[in-house]
Amino acid sequence: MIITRVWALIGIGFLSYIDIYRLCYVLLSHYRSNCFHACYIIPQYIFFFLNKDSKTLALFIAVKHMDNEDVYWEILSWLPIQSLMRFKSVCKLWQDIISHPFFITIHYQHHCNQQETPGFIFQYLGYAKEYHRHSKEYFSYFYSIKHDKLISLPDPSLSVIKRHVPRILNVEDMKVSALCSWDGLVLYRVKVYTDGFKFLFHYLCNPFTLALKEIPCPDKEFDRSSIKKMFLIPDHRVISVEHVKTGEFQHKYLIKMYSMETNKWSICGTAFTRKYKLSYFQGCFWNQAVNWISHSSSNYGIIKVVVSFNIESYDMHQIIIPDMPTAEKLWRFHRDMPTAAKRWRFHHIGESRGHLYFVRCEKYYFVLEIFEADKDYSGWSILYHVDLRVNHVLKSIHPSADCTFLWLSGVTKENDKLLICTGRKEFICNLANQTVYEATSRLEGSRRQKLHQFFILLPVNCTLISP
Amino acid sequence: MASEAVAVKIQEGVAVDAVVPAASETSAQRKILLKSVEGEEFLVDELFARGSKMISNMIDDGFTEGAIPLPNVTAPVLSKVVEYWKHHVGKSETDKDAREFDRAFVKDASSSVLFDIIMAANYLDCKPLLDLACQAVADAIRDMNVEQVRGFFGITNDFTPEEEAAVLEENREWSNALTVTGNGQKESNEGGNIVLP
Repeated sequence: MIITRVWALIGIGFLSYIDIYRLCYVLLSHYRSNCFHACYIIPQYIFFFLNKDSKTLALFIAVKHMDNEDVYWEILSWLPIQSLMRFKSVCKLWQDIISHPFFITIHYQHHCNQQETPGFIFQYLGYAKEYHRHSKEYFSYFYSIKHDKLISLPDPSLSVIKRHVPRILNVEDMKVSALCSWDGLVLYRVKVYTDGFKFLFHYLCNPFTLALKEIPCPDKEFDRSSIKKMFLIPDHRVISVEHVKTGEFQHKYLIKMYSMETNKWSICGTAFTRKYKLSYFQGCFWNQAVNWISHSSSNYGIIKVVVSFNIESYDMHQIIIPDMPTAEKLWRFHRDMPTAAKRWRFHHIGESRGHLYFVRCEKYYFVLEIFEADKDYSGWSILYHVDLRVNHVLKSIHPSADCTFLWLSGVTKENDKLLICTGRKEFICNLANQTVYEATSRLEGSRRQKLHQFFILLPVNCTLISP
Repeated sequence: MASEAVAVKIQEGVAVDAVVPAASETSAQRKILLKSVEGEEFLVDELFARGSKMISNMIDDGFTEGAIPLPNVTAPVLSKVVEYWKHHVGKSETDKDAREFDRAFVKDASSSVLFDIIMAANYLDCKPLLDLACQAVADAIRDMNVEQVRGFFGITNDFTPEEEAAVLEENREWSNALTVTGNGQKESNEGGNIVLP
């Protein structure tokens, strides 16, 4: 306050209003918010020293043309990523703002509500141009639920990652596929086929800004084991699961964690043995634990369970999934399979709004149920029972094996949606009123239909975060 | 519990001291005088004036006598801000009427009005209003290209041609990206060479 009074006195004597503004802005420009307020306190004093009733038009002109960085920060943080990347070339100030790490956190806070899925990436297999005519490759698009629009990513076949792979001779084929995502970053696996060998590389990449970082493969602790799966978890950590089969019904697993701060893999707890294999494709992160589907034997035969490994306390928990049939070959007494079990087909598990959920669907109809479990592992409660058999939009579609469902949870129950992907079309069902509409994401339909349909769906946030 | 807000415009020169505060004790009924830059004065309930953190701090520091001068907020902007406070202060975040008011508030506002509101909200430190106005401006410029944005804000391009080429090269993949809209039409920012498989 003392400084401002001194400046005010000097200002009256020698400088005009506009020069006072500019001087103060330059002097105090490293205190962002203070600068703004200080520049307005000064004229306040001048105002009272001079004529109270004078219309200070000069003040206005200075205000309007002042380079107000604060305001640009606020406005830019509400823009989506596509616009931001384009606006980097507006002027140097904007380029600096958009690249600033503090801006990235503000942008993240404004856009990414942890409870809601803003969109998802889907990868589908398409023809590649590079190696030979019939080699296939994953191409990705991003579908934004809020704007109901398909946005093509800047690098659909992720050639940026391919350029980073170290040079290997006689490469026959290279495929990049997305494994999992968290917080706007996606873990990609690159498979390089050469001379009968297969090499694997893993990269952590932001699919929007294409900033990437390589994750080294963890060392194997056991003989003849294989790294089965990698998971991405909060705080940019990666979990890897190493598996070795030590006997007929003995599978040994070791879990390792990689953190960005130490750039090293560390072992989580100790190795554990299970009778049945863990199913790697059905996994998610919830309650500080990595959860997979597996089987377990009980008095009733072989049942499906969720195996939960807590990465902080290294505890293991098991939650039984009710009424679910196992793979046919494991079920020895299939004639006695409960009728409920015969009817339902398990689909996937995931995490939303702090609960673990699983989705199961009927084998031949569009009937789905969604259950959720609490953190105390006590059991499941049914969240939705969706019956779309009579829905006219879905009438022409037969729920066959290549139909995928994805539950997209919103902030509240009103915003919950179910994504139904058949081989050729996508539909979105509003779970609040069970209406279905066709998603407006249409690729060049004719070309896509001719290909073998295999795709991966990945819920993803749009952020500017770099790994 | 809060009494109806009365924002009364008082002509300059009329004695206002008699109206200002000492009578009632509860903060809900105390009125604060806000003075815009032209000298026009607004009488606002203290409860609503506390929508601005700056004014709230001033009140707590004991600045309740006389008018609080706001030397960079003009009268029309100040009246809009007071209207915003009337609808938002003291209500929950997800109030439906408040959201309806927000939508109407920004729908008919021109860009210069929005700028004024942003500057005023920044000065008065009223975060919800700042967010609302900034989101409205962001929605307006979201689909513009670079030239249009420069014209909108009156920004001059301070890149040299080489620097500009470097930035465009860096974001080359973005400038080539296509956006597929609902009815299948493609809009592209530049004539890129993307071949869909």
